[in-house]
Amino acid sequence: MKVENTKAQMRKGILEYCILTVLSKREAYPSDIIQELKEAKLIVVEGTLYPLLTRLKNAGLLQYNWVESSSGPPRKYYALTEEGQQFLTELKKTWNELYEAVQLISK
Amino acid sequence: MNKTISINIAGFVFNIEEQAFEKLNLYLESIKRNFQNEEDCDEIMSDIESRIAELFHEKISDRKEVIIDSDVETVVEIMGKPEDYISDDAQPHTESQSADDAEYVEAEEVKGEDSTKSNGRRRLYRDEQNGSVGGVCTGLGWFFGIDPVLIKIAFVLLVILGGSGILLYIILWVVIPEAKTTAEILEMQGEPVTLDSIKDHVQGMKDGVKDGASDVKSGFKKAVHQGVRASSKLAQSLSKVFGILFTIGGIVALLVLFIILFGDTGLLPLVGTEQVEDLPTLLGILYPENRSGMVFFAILIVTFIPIVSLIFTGVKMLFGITTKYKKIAITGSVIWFIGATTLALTGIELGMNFRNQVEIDYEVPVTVDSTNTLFVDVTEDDIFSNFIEYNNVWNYSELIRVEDEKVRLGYPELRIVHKNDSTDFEVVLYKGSNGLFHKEAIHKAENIDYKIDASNNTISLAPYFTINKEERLRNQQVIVEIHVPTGKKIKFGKNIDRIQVDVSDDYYRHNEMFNGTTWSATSEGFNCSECRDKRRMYDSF
Repeated sequence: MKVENTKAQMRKGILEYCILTVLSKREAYPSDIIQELKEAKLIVVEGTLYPLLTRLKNAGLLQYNWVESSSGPPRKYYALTEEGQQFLTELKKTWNELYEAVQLISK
Repeated sequence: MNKTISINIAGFVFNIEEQAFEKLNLYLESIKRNFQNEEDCDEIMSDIESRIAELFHEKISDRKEVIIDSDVETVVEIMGKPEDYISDDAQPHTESQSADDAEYVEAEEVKGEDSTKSNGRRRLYRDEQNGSVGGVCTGLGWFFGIDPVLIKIAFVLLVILGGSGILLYIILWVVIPEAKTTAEILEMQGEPVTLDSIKDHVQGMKDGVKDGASDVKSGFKKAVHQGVRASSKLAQSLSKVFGILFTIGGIVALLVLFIILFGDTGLLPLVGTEQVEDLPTLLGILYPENRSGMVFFAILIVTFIPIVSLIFTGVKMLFGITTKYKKIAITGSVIWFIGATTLALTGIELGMNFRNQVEIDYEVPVTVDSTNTLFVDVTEDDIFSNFIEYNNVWNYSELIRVEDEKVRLGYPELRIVHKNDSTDFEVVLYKGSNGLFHKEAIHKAENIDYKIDASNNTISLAPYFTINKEERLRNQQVIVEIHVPTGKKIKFGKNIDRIQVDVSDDYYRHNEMFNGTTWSATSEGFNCSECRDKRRMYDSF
């Protein structure tokens, strides 16, 4: 068992939660999201974000607006939908529970 | 100085160096592979392309107008390598795979990286690059990890065996997709699809280096390993088993059909029977001139399409090809239906031509002296003896020979009947035929040409009768009936078993071993004196 794999699995598990959290603060463009995720070391390359966003959008959790850009093609700005908001609230609850559980065990 | 190409990404035009373009193209191609099974593939790809366009846009300035190699590399760094894209959905698949991989890695001992991950899996493609015709054999060679020459030999053997190899090849050609992209070529060869392997592959192609035996050998080793892995998987999967059954069943059916349609090639003695004329010729003397070709074609369609689709399905199941062939399937069904309808309509038309049956009888004068024995024999067969073994068991309907405008039918019948109420031998020749109308049937019966010689205690029968080709086959028959009074004898000659002989009654039929026997008519029926143990007495009751 490689530690790298486990790490990747853990990151993957909370990635959706983090994307939704980022978008709950403001509308964002994929490379903005990436910026935040990179800082948190959750994701390293942009490519992996696109399929994830598409999937969340198709699940009805996200929506997007086209915004013209001065430096290239129009950009998709993503935002949470009503459903996404509820989804996020659920996830937040679970995350807090998990966090506390881990804290408790680690003591 | 470098050549540049103009490309369009997400609606923006960029000038890009040729080398950089190739790299970019490969990159997009290989990441697309990771999504190609998802519905949103196009959307994801266009998002990614938009982002790439944006990144390129940042690279372009007044002083730099062209996208170069390093720009593409930067993009790849930002966007991630193809192997980073492996989608989460493929997770369970990858895990089940890795169990097999574990064995494989063990067998290979030190394999280092996890290069045999899901994308190292071997798939079946046609290798047009290295193949001689459509790359089918070479592709199969890659898949099974064996030398394509062996597969080619197998195909050539199948071609010799009735030509079905050609058809099989064409089917495989259609079913198996060609390895077009580098990623597909690597998959075909069982290489993991990563940017590095693609790069290596392209490099290899460019340099044109057919790099020595060592490389090929290690490739072979790996190929054999993966072949073994692939075949152990085959055994596990029911669909593969059915695929094999379908394919083999289809090929066997194809062979049998070839023999039925085009005659026995002599290589499959168990399947084929000796046959004088092939099916097209027989149809030619059965159907009107302008119909026979059509009917033959309809038979081909009606029989071949189901067999071909069986092989088609089998191959698809066997190699896990998921490509859909909707158009081909619809076209096939329509053609099959047309063929079946044609057969039905022409069949009804043909049946009408058999509506009326007629039998005409002719008295043949015969003289027998005081020996009271009539010698009956069949003259030498100059037509069918070339095709059938003498005194062998055959199917009479096979004894049809078409020569120019004449048709020889090798199945006249001889009946020996005991007559209590007469004192002299009587020989009656019956000619029969069917026809659309009564008159037509009479005409056809009259036109049957049969040679029968009666002289000095002897009757010589021809082994076949002849009709004109334009009369068509309408159940024409020739029956010679000999009435034997009590106290007289019939002696058969050596050729008598060439035709169908019937002694005394309709219930016992003996198409063999009449030669050299003598039958005396007694008041109780026929008595055979020289007959072998089994055949002692046959009476008329």
